[in-house]
Amino acid sequence: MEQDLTGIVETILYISGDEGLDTLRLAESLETNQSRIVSELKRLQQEYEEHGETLQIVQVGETFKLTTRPEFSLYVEKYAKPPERSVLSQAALESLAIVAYRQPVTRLDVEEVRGVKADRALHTLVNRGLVEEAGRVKGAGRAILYQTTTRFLDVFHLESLESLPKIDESASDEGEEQMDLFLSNYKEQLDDEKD
Amino acid sequence: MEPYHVKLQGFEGPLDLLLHLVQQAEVDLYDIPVAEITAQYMKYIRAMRQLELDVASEYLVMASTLLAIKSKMLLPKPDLYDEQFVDEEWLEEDPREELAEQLVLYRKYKEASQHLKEKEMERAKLYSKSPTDVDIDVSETEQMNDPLDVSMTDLIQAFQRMNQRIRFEKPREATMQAEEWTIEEKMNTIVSRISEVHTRVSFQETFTNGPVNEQVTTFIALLQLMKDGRVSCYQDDNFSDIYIERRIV
Repeated sequence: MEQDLTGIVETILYISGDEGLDTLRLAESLETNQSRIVSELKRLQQEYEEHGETLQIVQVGETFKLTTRPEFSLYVEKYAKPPERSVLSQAALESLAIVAYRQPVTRLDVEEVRGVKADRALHTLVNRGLVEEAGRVKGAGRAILYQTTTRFLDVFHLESLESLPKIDESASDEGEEQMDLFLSNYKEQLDDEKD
Repeated sequence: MEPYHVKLQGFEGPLDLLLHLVQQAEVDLYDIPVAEITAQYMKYIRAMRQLELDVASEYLVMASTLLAIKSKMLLPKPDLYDEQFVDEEWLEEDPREELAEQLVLYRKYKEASQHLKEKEMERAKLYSKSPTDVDIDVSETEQMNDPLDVSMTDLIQAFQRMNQRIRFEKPREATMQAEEWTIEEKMNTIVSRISEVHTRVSFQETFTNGPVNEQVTTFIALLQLMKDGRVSCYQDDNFSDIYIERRIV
């Protein structure tokens, strides 16, 4: 039945459009394992790159989709005049970043980092399908936990959460370093004062 | 100190304002000149109040935190010559430390949000087509027995995709209907009507049973004529008909 996995995968990619090819679903329908589908898609993705195809294959979490290339976006916009997209407010964007990097988080976690209330921002993010509830904290209060959705990966052009742009992960380390520096300076100062 | 520029709207909260002040002062986050920064911070708060902006309570909480730190820093330090104080435990008690950590963390996510924004813009340049309409789903009876595994988020996402599609499929060009009646034209009609009958015309007769657009145009034309002093209107009694007369200028 699967004499040509490449052909099957490419066909389903085309059929799926912006909903994306669901690798698990395809694996089940072909009675094969997901990893085989994923690796075939990655191989095809590579091939598209090498052959300079007009379209490209983009991975979004567990799905893959066929999209146009960024260098042609100008012509799409000229031809189709897509509507202006509504942009996220800075408040929503910052809250989203916190959820993305620290998930699952509670509203309070987000508020602690930003120093302001986050209920409205989180509400917006949930409404936009970028963030979803992910159960509740065990114990008193049972605060709602939030996590990002697959749509989040799509909107922000991420293959998976691991491909989030590396932020200064070392911020706390850097903090410690600076603290060390601060301490050593302080000690020197003390020594100087003693002399 | 430089004259400060009030940039109020751009702040996302007290931490954002504080970060701005610290960055402007070009000092290290772990070595904030508390007295100076507090003074500037208070200036902003005062400015916000003067502009009668609703100063969110978070800003006031931060103000009191700053003042608390400032006063702690003013307290006499323990005897530095006493070896027992020169251990890490005491040294770590820099009253500014907690705030500095908060600022570092906030800055980290503020930067991350910028990265996200760039990624979003990158993604917006990629287009894909709607899924081909093939009924891939299993038969209906089977579907009805299946428990629905649909979350609120799924619904919202589906709704949004639909909305996007609708917006995208909207015609790119809209046709505007040309105005069928112009005010000029209607003004002339009224004036010539009056000259025809040589006396006055009734307000009610002026309006034909035309569409609303036409009625409105006629009414505006009448108002314009009155404003120009070309006609005058009068009424004998309350609720009686209004007459339009030509005014001799």
